[in-house]
Amino acid sequence: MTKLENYTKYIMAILTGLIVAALYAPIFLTIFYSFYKTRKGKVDWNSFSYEPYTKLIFEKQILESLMNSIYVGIVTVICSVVIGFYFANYYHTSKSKMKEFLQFIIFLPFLLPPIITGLSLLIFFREINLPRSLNTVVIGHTIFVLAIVFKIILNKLETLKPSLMESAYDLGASKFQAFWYVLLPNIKLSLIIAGLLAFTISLDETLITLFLIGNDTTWPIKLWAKMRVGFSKQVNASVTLILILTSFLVLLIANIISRSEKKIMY
Amino acid sequence: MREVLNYFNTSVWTIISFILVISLILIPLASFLSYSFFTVDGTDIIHEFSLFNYKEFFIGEIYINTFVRTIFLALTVMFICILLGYPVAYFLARYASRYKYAILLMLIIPLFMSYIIKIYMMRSILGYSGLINKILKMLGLIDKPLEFFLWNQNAVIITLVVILLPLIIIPTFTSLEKIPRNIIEASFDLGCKPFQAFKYVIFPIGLPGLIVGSIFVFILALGDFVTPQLVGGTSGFTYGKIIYSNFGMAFNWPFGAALASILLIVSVIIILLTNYLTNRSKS
Amino acid sequence: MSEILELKNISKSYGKTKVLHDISLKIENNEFFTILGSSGSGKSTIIRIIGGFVKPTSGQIIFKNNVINEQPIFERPFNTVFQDYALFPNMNVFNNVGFGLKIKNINKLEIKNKVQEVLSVVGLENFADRMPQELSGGQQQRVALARTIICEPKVILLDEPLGALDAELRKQMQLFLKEIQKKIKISFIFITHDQEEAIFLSDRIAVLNNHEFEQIGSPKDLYYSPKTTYMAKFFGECNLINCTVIDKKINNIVVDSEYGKFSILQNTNVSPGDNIIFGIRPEEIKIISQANTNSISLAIKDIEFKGSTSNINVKTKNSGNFVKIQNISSNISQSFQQGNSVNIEFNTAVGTIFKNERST
Repeated sequence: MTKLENYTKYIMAILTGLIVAALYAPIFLTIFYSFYKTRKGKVDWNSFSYEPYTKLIFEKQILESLMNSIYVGIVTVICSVVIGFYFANYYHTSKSKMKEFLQFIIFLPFLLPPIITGLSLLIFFREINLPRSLNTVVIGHTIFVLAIVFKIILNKLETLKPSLMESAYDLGASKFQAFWYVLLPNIKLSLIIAGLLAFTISLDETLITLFLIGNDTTWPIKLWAKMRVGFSKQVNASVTLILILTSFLVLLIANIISRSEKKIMY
Repeated sequence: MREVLNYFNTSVWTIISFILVISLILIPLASFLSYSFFTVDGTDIIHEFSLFNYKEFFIGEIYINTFVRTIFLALTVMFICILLGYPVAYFLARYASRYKYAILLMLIIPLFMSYIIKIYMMRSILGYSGLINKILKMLGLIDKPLEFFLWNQNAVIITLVVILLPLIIIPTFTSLEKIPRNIIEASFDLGCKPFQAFKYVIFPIGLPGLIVGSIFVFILALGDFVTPQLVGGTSGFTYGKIIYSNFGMAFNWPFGAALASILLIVSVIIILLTNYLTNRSKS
Repeated sequence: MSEILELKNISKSYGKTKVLHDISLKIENNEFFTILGSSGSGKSTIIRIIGGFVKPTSGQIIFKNNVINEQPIFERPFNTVFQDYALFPNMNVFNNVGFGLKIKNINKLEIKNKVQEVLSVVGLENFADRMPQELSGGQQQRVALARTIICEPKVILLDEPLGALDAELRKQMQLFLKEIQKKIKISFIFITHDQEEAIFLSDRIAVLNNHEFEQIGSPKDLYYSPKTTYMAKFFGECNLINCTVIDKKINNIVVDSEYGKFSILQNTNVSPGDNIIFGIRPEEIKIISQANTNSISLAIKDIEFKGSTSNINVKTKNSGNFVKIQNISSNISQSFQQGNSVNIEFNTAVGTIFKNERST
């Protein structure tokens, strides 16, 4: 490598470090402010305590919103994985010229600004007199994550050998049996990854949720409301805990992916 | 019936897929678009076709102005993300070999952190007594804290960059990483100095990923309405905020829908254009 | 003949793993030079060291009397045809081939002429507009070759370029490469693990074994004058017979072996009592009807019918080791049966005597 190349390499490394630091700054501040308080812009170093975390269980409102978010997340996962699998399988096996158009539509809610997806569903629900609720949020989330779930499952389906299913039929399996005993186990991993990803995205999804939620609150909505009042240590504490949860989920996904890739190498 | 199906090379399943997708995605979009042609009377919505809303958009200067301003804002965010994100993606793809996935993971995790909290915390970073001012003071670069960073358009830009950077780094990294090592070696072998190898081989092949990431960042920045509410103050507001306010207290859903429709059309055009351009460069 | 490139005592280790040990070679002008070795033997490493992609742990790369170890890749006067061709996917054939000239800022008209010239040399005149993804394996390979030829390097390095092709295409490309090399008069250093390919293509072959060169020479040299028993068994078959020298005369020596006594008609520097290995190829052994002073009587172990000729393995009554005889006309072998005794005679003048080795 030439000197100039070395020089640019170091600059890029430093830039990477700075950017990682910048991205994590809000996160660290959140964790920090869950332990400490500020007074008139200065940190009160005496205010350290674990209390926000221990008292969290008693904060009914926060817990309720968390429960709602988890409910929405789980139902979203179920719906999006089922529908996403159906579409992925369809796309993979179909020779119809329409499938490209179908794929484009599936991707629309994800590619367009979330405000549009949220608004269109909001208006639609009003016109058909469907009251807003947690379930309308589920519908919104499902449509939103469908594109990702679809793509993940489709990628996996396309790497499977066609002879796999063919041999199942050859040995006498019905369509359902082939699906249940052969196809499903072989795409298990991608279903799990897609599901975990869908859950993680749904947990934090704010923009669409703001439009579609009724009187219940989910976690991001709770934060949105609290934000007006100002954040207490407790809110920061709960955010930190959720952050740990989502980081764990992301690391889990990464772990699954790397382990499955190692298997393929053998 | 069977002949019709065969002609279009479709099946019952295709029809079912269509119905599902149309009812979940297309009909809401259609009703949303149709709303933009309605008007409001007090708290009632008049379901009659009218171009009133669109006229308002073009006549009332503020709407077009904000829209154009927001486009420039989104472009600014996009370019800053490219400027900062490309070197990071390049560094990870080319030089970081052992650590690249670990660092990539570190860049992905903040994406899953609560959106609202991230923005809210930017206040503590950008504000009068915030982190940046404290650091600048510590380094001796300033005497008094700057008001440059918060409660204005700059804050919106900076915050959006912090939120959206990983979204440009990931696809850029992916397409740069895919470049086989021996293609780079071949370019050296044929006499390229390092910068020439970048200019003629690495950059062109890695371009599609960069474009995907850039467009994604642009569209998300264009439609964002939370950031200006939290850090924008009075001077930093976006088109998205105006749309949102029409669904809040102003309760003029049709008008909001019209404003959003314009956003929709612009977004769709950009997506299709990008799609067309990247497909053309591939063949 | 002038040498244009020399490797002197090149060694390469990755940590504790030794990949190359004391590699030395000299490449002549206009020669087709092959490095032959099994997979993982380090042969690719040699041309990567020449090309500049890998730095040797020790040793020198010498070009025109200059040590060029420190010269960066893009300054070296060598070009590489990569194993998977490494064509730039974002450029068509014309731009791929012209790339080496374009970055030297050669004017467009000249580039156009040279590209067309080189494309016709490799037989792809009409492919200038195609994209690499549209080409077959053989065509991609010719583009990769054209891309290097146009730069007029002193040596073209080819890293197992035919590995990905099917058998028939491979044969075509072998012929093609051999002809091209003679036509453009640039030396090729060619890497392969395929013996037949090496013998067919090369002016000289270097056989890589155990991270070292076992022997370097023309195919005929390697076949008729193997320097070690490894080389003897490397090309074709070779019987290796353990012998003890009994008597030494001016033009021959008499040896005793497990198969019997016979004399070797060569002028060799050995003394009675020495242990040597005598290598004789199966096609250099005759079956004679009448015994003579130089023949041995052995029993037939088995007969292998191969059409117009047959192979016969013969052995002594007691041991399991056998001597392989090839190219016996089937007319003659027809009359033989397992167990029969036959008289065999070695064409000892063309056999090889190996000292200081023990056959395994």
